Amino acid sequence: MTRGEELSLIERAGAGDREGADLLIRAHQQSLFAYLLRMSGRPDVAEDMVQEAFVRVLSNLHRFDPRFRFSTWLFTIARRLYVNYSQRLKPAYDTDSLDHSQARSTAPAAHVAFREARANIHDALQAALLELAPEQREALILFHQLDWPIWLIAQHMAMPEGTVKSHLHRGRRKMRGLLERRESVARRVGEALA
Amino acid sequence: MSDRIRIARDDHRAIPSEVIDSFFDREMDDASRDKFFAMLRADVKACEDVVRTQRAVSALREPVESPELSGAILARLDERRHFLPARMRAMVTGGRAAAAAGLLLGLLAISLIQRYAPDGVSLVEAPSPVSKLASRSASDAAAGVQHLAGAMESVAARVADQSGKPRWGAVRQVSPLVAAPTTVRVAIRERSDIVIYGGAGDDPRFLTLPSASAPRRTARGGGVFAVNGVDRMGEDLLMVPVLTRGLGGHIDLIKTPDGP
Repeated sequence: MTRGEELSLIERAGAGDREGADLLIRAHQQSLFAYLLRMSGRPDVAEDMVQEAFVRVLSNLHRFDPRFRFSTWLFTIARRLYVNYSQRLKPAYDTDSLDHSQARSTAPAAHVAFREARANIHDALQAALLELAPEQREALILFHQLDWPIWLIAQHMAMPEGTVKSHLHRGRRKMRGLLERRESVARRVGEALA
Repeated sequence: MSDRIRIARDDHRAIPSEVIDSFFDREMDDASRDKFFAMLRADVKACEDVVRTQRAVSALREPVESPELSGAILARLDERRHFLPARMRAMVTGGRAAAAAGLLLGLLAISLIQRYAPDGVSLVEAPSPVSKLASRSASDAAAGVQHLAGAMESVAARVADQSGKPRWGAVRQVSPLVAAPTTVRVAIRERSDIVIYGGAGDDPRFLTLPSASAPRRTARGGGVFAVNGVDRMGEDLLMVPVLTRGLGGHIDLIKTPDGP
């Protein structure tokens, strides 16, 4: 969607056009859900925060400044919702719930092992993410998952670009260490069971 | 960045972490990337770290299946604000535009009328300047004086019509009494002023008359008596002159210790 198309949708939604609001939601809901799911580790929580973020944004479209990006505003509100949520309770990681959120393969049984291995990677990844500091987790998600540039992440997280890169570097190193430890444990378990 | 890679390669040291970060931060150009991969082939540890990190980054980049939430979101929004169908929205927009245009035209019409016919439209009562208030008070006072003057003239006419009636000076002032006295009382306010209350019933009146420089006396009933002194209005009255005929009605002479 071009910026002009997005602005047109925003104007329509602001005037009460249901269809315009629907198109605006569909354009951003996937990325927003992915962000909140990775941050919280819980699909049910991510769903609720996605809905609340959109409701708040669409209720206040008259305040939207067209000089800025709509997604930035939407993600800023989502971030505040997540911060409030995380202050209430620690995010829990549910492997069963997360597995249902991953894109499922329709391949036949021959690829089950691949699916299981992939699911294991995703489980390990999510578990590692949740062990990172929130700033490191957020920087990794926005940069690697949503392809946000460093300057935009810095703006969103309200910190200098150098600090964002620092969080990225440390987050990657720590995640790598966690994954390495997990693999080591899995190998030892496998050897023990063999 | 290419200098760092060259130095690291030349020194046969482990690849610095900054170089690996630069790779994952997507800051390398094609040439630097090729050199980096060549260095990795010589550094097993660094290669394992890069592979492990790349695997995690690739997993992170895989799309996450999102549930369809637009229906639920719009339902929540409907609770706060109702969406209008396109047709109704057009009607609402048109109505608002018409109301705004009507208001503007009305204001324009008023401003034009105000400009070319200032007296034609008056939305609020024009404030009265203080000068008008003063002139109004003056006119009210003048009306009061006229009323009083009329009353004076009627009394003066009555006094003047009585032929042979002794008369001291001219009527200078007539003031209505608060309550009608049944007797005549004379209040002396000052040496040169004599106030005589007179009348009975519904026609109270009193006169102020200039006092005589020298007392005069007459032996006849109803005659004029000299004023013997000045006293305050009310009970302590001295000898007073009384005009009997001019006032009419029953007049009592108020006796005083020094009375006649």
